[in-house]
Amino acid sequence: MAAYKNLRAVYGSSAVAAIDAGVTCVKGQKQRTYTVVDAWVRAHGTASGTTTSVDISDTSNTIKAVVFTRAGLSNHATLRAGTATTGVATNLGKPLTAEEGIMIKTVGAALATTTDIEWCVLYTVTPTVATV
Amino acid sequence: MATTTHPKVHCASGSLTLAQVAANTLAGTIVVDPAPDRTITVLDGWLRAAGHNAAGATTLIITDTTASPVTIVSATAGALLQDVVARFGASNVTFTAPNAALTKGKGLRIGCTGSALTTSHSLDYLIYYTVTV
Repeated sequence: MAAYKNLRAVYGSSAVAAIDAGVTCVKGQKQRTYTVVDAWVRAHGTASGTTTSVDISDTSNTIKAVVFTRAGLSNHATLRAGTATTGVATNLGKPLTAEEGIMIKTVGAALATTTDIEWCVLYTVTPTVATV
Repeated sequence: MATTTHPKVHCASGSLTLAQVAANTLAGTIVVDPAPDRTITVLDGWLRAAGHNAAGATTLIITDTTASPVTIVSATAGALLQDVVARFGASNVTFTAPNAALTKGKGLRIGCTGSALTTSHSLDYLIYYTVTV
């Protein structure tokens, strides 16, 4: 069981060029592990082209907390983690790689038509046990 | 008159084994400990079966820890698919009285009704809640 008093949230809006390159929403910290517990994104301008998805992951893109597929990125529509088929959240609530940050990034070809994406990530922080 | 408050939001998250969910049916497992003079209000959350789609149990329930528990969330086993987040309030994941204050001094528990939960290996959960004195 784990109960956290300190649920944290980070919110922003990024141009698609930045999302394509990868936006670090939260910087990694020594001795800390982040767990993304919830998230949503909202596109402005319907996504098109051959983009596969917009993913929220750790900064090495090793563990993907949420995979928002292009089909769900409709103009001005909020797409929540867990939405059937377009908000795949297999690793939601599972720790990311220790000491890494949280990143939102395009997978596949660059986003087209969309101008920017709003995003919100809810997460918790736990101390990382030091190895000796 | 509308009121605006800014309570601190807490979250409880983790993963329970089938035994922890199914043991003694309604007994289940306490995921938020009771605290004297504190009142919990559940705001939102999600459930997710891991390892396989859930089966067996009539419903997976989140209740408070009173002797006659108040059911907050009731999800059919069929709504708990492998690796798929089932949000409170979604189809077959009934969110009873969201934002309603529960019994003072009681915690939260996850259990099941009917037969034991089967086939899944575990159940992931996340519960957003506030605490008032």
